[in-house]
Amino acid sequence: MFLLHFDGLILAVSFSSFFLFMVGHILALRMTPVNQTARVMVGAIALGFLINISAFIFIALAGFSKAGIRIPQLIFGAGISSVLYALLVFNYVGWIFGMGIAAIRIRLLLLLMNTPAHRATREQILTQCNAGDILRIRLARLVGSGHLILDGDSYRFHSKVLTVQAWITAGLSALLGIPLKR
Amino acid sequence: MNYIAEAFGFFVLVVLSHALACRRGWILFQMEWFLALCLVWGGLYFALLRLAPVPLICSGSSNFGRSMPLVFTSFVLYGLLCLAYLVQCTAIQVQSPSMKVVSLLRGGPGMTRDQLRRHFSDEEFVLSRLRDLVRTGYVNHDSEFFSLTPKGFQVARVFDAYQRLIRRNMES
Repeated sequence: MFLLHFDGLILAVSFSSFFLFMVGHILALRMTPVNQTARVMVGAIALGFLINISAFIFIALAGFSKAGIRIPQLIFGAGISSVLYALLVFNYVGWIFGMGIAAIRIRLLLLLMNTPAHRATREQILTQCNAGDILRIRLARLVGSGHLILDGDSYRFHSKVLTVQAWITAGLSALLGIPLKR
Repeated sequence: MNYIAEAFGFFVLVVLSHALACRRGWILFQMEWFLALCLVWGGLYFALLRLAPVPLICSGSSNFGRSMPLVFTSFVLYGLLCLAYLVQCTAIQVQSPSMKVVSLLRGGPGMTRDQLRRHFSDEEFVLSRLRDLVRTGYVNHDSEFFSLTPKGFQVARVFDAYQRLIRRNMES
């Protein structure tokens, strides 16, 4: 009965798509090498969108009109369900997978956890986690995900996504009246 | 449709009130204060739905909005938008290495790793984060050693388990 409720249907489809995205990307990440991470994530996200839209097409074909739901409503529902799915993925990537600004902090916590007695001096920490290291890893990730191009030994910027991200950050900084740290 | 528009409307109110609070210096990025702000506006939204179950915003069409009472969907949408906004806010709070690389390379002819390295310091990317972990109670610091607190150990174990699950070291 719950699924016949349109509100519940939208939530069920978006959360099911997200669940399948979770299962799909975890399985794919476990089976692929590290340098395929960006490709796996993009593929899993696209698969989730396809599942989301397919669910509504299936519902339309299955004669949901008998329950009083019309085609424009189904299209609208598919749109809202896709937005919810996109937000779920965005929050997952932002908070868990990418860890946002916490990435280095989590790395420091893991570093301390893996040292004897779970403690280390400042020098020991900097031996294993320093600015040069962080830069090397980030450059590899940015090149791997196609945001930068390595031309000889020179890195060049090549990303519409990160350009948009930079605009959003600049806009938000202006709105909140907080200067960006540069 | 109306419920969705209202959810977006209340999200805009969260953003505007957060901007006002930041500009006045009342709150900055304290997560608990931001979540309290979201709860206050969410509570008001809930109260308005209870008081006026018919959507507040007219759709213009006959009953397109009324025929789809998307109450739960609109609440979930509101919550997810607030969380997504908070993710964006964190980019202002602390400079991420990726965004620093982007800001250095954007619009320029390109830079080598050595040239980029001159803009990266241990102080900015490691030691300030370490001090922040001490300040927030995840790490202890005596005169010589940094060590994990029980809270820090728990968080580290959760992320360690997650990294094992996806077979990735997320920082490598």
